Amino acid sequence: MSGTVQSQPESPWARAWRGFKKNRLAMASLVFLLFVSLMAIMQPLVERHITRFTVVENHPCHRYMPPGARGIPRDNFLLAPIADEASARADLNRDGQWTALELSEALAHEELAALDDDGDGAINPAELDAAPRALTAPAAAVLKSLDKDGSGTLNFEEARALIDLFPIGEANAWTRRFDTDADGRLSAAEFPGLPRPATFWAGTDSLGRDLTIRLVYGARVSLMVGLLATLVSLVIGLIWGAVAGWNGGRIDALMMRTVDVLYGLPFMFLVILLMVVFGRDIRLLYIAIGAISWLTMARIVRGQVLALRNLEYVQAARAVGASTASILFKHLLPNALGPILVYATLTVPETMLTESFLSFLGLGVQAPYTSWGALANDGARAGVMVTYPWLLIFPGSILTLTLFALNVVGEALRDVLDPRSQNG
Amino acid sequence: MLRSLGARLLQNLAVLFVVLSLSFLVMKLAPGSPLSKDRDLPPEIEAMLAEQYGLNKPLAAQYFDYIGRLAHGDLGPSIKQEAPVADILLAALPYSLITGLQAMAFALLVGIPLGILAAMRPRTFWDHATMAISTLAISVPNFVLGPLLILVFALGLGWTRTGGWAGWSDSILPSISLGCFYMAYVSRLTRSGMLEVSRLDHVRTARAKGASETRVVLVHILRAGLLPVVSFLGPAFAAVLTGSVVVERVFNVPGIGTFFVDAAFNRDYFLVLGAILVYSVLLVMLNLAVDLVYSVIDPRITLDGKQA
Repeated sequence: MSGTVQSQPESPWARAWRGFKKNRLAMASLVFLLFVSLMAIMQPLVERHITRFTVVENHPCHRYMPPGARGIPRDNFLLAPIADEASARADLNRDGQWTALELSEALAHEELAALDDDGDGAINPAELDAAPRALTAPAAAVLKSLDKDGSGTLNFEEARALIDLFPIGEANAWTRRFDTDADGRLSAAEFPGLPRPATFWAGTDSLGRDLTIRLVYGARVSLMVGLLATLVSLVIGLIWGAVAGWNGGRIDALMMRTVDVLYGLPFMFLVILLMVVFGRDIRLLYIAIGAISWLTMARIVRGQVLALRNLEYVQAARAVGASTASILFKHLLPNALGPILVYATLTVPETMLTESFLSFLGLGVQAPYTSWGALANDGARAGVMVTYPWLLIFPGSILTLTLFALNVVGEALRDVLDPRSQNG
Repeated sequence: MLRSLGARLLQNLAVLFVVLSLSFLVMKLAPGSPLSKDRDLPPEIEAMLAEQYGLNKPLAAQYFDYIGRLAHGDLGPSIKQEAPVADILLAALPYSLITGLQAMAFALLVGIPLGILAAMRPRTFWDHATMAISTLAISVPNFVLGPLLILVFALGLGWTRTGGWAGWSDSILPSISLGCFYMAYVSRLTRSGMLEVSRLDHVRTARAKGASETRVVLVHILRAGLLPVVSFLGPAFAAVLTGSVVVERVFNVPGIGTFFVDAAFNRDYFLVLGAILVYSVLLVMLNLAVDLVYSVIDPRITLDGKQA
């Protein structure tokens, strides 16, 4: 039988996937969504190895740092491996012990050495300009004011004023942490190595928390609430729609009329009320959102069941005595899966939007934990927006991009799975 | 027609009643009371205040008190603001109404032409560009769009103020950020509705009889093609009211939404219930108006929801 060209016809799912792949915007959106989900799932790993700042740790000395600035992670510090040379250099008075002051100086020196691209031991204007920190004046003016010897460059002594990477307060706290014999200084046995600076890739907020890891954590909350709320709406919508469509007649008319009436109700106000009065429990959050998002799903399912229930194969199943439940779940729903999947996908951005809306009002996840809506709320405060725009732009654009990607994927799915539909 | 209108009104009244009762129950089941958040009051004064506002009666008695007063047109007192709820809401209503109606006007006046543009040139650059823009507009939450508009037009260009309400010009940015989503949705509904209708026989007949393209589009396609838009208006009004809660906060508009959230936080029972009542009544009236318009445009639909 080797002459057969194709033993099996292409399955509808394979055909749909082939069609989906042709839509470049949808494929790009899918990749973006996979990336965001991956980061969200791996948040603990991202926190430990990439940002090294944790979601909750705040650095009073690093409030409102711009993207690219650097700091020393405190809660989740990873120390640089002990390098004798570096340790010796940090020990300024050569007593074999390290004080907080010495550590602070050593780290400032390392930081300046990192800025000093040409390695000449001085910071020139171009290097100062490239430094990822907020200067209160143009680099040239700053340089002129600090350049005491008039050399046109800043030696490390002069540039020390620019570095607040590891201020003495943090250095003290950090030293206390390792100072097991509480003598105010670290011995060689206590000193595990210099702390390693990390970059605030997306800047910091009003409490000096790293926005990058907060965005990743926000993705976790926003995506999870979006998915769970969609699941809740899917369950209610499936049951409501299937019961209405299967029974037909007066029951159907009554149930669908109820859906019509519910469509016009300001449910959101009840949800706001619920969230305000019963604490901000995340379970309540997605159940409440799901409970107000099932209406369209019920209509879709009902339409599908209504269209399918009189087909011959269903009649045949009924004739051989299959139970209603088995007909619904084994024969009807699998055939209606396409449109259901499409609308479930399109419900996700809707529920995520509702979640961020509630979080924006301060009704979502409790501080210090966060979601994208809560982050956008922090950034949208009147005084913050102008001076520290990254606090609005990063959460706002990542939320918008994710919703956009979800909508694009949902619409592309609709084009390939439910081509007759012309809605929206 | 009048009979079905009456039936609709009765049905809406029942729905209003259910919403109000549910809200009452949620508020009363919640921990805390409007008096508890103040500085510690001496017990006798607290008892006196509770007596004054009827908070010491059993739940059912409080409920019937409230409904009874409502029947006389009395929305009760705001416990926190020490003013009648009706006065507070009446003062706030115009701001919310202007913002909401302008948002819908923006949605329709921009969305429908965009949809027509896309539908007249399907599968061309114009179509794809319009639809991509509308997907983007659907994806931007209004609480992100609002601050961005402030950043650009108020702080950057200095054309408007950043918030508050001193005159009509302060309503422009709130209305746009509130209406943007619906503008995008309306443009898609217009496009798909028109594309569907343009394949129908009566359109082909009109073309065959030599009607001008403008006439075909505006008279024969648009009228039927806009039906999905009209039926979307009901849910859209509900969502616009909801969205106004956030937009009013972003732009510091002294509307009902601002009062609503604060009142819920403060357990200011009568103010919360009053706000929900106003929202629901608005919604019911707007929905009724939409249905009336619908039955005028599409004679096949009657008001009680049955197909004639």
